Amino acid sequence: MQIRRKRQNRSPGIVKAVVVLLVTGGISFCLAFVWQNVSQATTQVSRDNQREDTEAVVLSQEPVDAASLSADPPPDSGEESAAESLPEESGESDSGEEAEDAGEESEAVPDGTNRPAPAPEAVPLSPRVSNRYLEDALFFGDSLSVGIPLYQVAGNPDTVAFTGINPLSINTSQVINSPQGKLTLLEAAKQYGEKKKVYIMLGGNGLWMDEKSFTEGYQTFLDSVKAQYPGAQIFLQSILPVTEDAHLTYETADNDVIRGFNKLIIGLAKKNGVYYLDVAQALMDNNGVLPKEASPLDGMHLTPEYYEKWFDYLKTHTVEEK
Amino acid sequence: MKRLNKMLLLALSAMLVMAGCGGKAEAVDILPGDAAAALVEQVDFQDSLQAAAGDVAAQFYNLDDTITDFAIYISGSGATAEEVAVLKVEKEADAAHAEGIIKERLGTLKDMFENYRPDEMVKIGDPVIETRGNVVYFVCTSDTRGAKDAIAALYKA
Repeated sequence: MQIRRKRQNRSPGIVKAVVVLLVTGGISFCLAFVWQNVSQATTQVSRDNQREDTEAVVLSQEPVDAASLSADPPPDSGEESAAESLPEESGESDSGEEAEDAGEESEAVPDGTNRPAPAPEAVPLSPRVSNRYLEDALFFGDSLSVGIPLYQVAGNPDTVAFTGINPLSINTSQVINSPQGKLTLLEAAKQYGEKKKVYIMLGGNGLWMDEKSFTEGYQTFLDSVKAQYPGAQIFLQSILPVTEDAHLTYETADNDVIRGFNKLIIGLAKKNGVYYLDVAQALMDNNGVLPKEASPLDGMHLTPEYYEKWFDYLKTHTVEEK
Repeated sequence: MKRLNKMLLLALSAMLVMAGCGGKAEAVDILPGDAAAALVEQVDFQDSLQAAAGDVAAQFYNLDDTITDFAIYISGSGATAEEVAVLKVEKEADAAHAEGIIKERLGTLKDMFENYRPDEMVKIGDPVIETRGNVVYFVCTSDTRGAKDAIAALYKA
């Protein structure tokens, strides 16, 4: 009887239990969905700060809104969409709708610091990739890029760089020694064959130029790169910040000037349908300058630790290959 | 005291480089890796010098098969023209070829720095280039006296 009574009493109980289960299940599902998204975002931010070199080559299938994940999010009053400024093939998100126009790039983030906001046109944060991602990459640059092979950074990707080169001289100066004689950087790069990615860091030695010369010189080099590597993804890296006292060694080294020239580089990236990488974000402190510890010698050239930060940025700001 | 320490270090480095060798000083079998490390240690440099990996060094200096062994240190930050190179050839007759490689590199450093950091031209304009037997030394530094002393110390018994 007891059993029966229990069974009799269980019928409405089962119904209640099913209802409760359905309700709690639904709530749990919603919570799990929300948690998964929050967790994913948190993990990506966390990964950005780690130097763990996983073997997983995961590219940005759905680029993350870099601005929203950044420790220093940009103001949300902008008008321009990143989708309008990044290359069509970039698969960029529409996160830029909440970011400001490139012209406002150098404005401080409203977080109590003087740190400029990330450029909304820049390649957004993406899951970390391994050094293998850079095996088919080629780096062009000046003295800062000379340190890439010297320090064997990120698996030592192929690099053609020359101290003192600038957006004008890079087009004509035959400065790279080879068995065939002196070559331009582009000529010397042919030894490395086909490349799928080309990274350019140029302009730090051109801060004395007028905007027209700078832009025309850079454009000429970009045209040559596109002709030599027609199928490659091309990344224009920002000029890196300098320390507050770098001008003591380099007269034209000034962070406001650098930010101005970086806007020109952003404009070149837009015009040419190539990618812009705001590497400066990875190296600057809360005042928007290169910390002294990053360049104790002259305020511009980096210690090995800051090369690691630079390449950490590159490995967490990637674009899906076509 | 500091001078004494430096002298002791010079003597120690000479002993290390000459380890296993005896006889006359110029007959010392120099190991470029050890010699270059000793020079980097003994000579005063403004920048921290970085040992260039073999293939990287060969590319920077456009080395060929005549150079049988070498060690090259380059300004780590890229901010200065400071460098150390020790190139070894098989026969003394080939030392002139190694000197030519050094002079070509010196020309490259001039191209790099003359408009970029003209103050570095003081070092580039007065480098230490010494040939001892089948080994050629190149030290680009403002401490030329220290560099010469350090090279000489490699050969002292």
